[in-house]
Amino acid sequence: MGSRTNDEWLHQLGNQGPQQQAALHELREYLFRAVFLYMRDQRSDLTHLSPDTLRSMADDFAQEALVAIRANLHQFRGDAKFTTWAYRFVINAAAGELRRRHYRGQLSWENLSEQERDAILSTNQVKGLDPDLAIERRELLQLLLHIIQTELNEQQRQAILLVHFAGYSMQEVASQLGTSTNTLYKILFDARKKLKAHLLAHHLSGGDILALFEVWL
Amino acid sequence: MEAKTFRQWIGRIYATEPVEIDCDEAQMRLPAYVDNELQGGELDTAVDTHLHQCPDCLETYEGLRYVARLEQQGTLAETDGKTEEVTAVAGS
Repeated sequence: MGSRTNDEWLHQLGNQGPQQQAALHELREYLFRAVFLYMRDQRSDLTHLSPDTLRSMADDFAQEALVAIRANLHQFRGDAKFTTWAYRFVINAAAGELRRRHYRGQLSWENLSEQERDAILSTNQVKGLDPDLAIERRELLQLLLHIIQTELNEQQRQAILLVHFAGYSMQEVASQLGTSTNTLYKILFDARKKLKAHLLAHHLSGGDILALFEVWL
Repeated sequence: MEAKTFRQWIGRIYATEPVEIDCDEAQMRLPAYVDNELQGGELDTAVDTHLHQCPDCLETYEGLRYVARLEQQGTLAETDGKTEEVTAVAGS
């Protein structure tokens, strides 16, 4: 695949003529192969699909990525191989669409406090635990819950609950919140900073907390 | 909450840096990050931090690393589009 240098890719894709057509054709083939292999080998959620179906999906993703690449050629900074830069578009096209297909429907904001309480306190449901350790753990979990419920705003609490606790994708939660993934990242970043600051103010390190929860089963 | 989720959450809290790059910037830097990784070069710590915190960008990174490695090994070029016969040899 090293048939062209970065400069050659940019030059040939950017100038109309037979060279451009050849470069577009070749790039589309690369994108197709990349996304086909990604879906076939890396996506355990697609193993039930036939090669023909995967090929058809790969064709669509390659076309979508090719359009996006042509529109964004000016953003290529030359700090990576051109093909690696281009593959990002096709992987994002596939991963984004596959995330959308797995959306779990309307997310519930009701009973946020109860959902947080259930998520946090269920962490201490361990049978046969040393009573002193159980108390220490419960106190820590109550502290975490208290910080979440008193120091974070509602949006931060929603984001933590859905992304960190429930494992929803950033894309799905951002869509439900009516915002971008960039903004959601900032919401989570601010929430993490507050949580970290308050835990450190209580002289608790990550190691302290994880040591308390070494026994799980 | 399961043990893995709890540990990951605590890990994310304490891995928080004073300044972090957003998804757009991480995505821009990702191709160079992957190329550097495959060539054994120095990694961009800002991208590292972001990938630790963002499941969606991590998914893109893992996919991109996979196909870039196939290309590096020459495996990606072996197919002609009728790709059933392609045997991927790259680790994930």
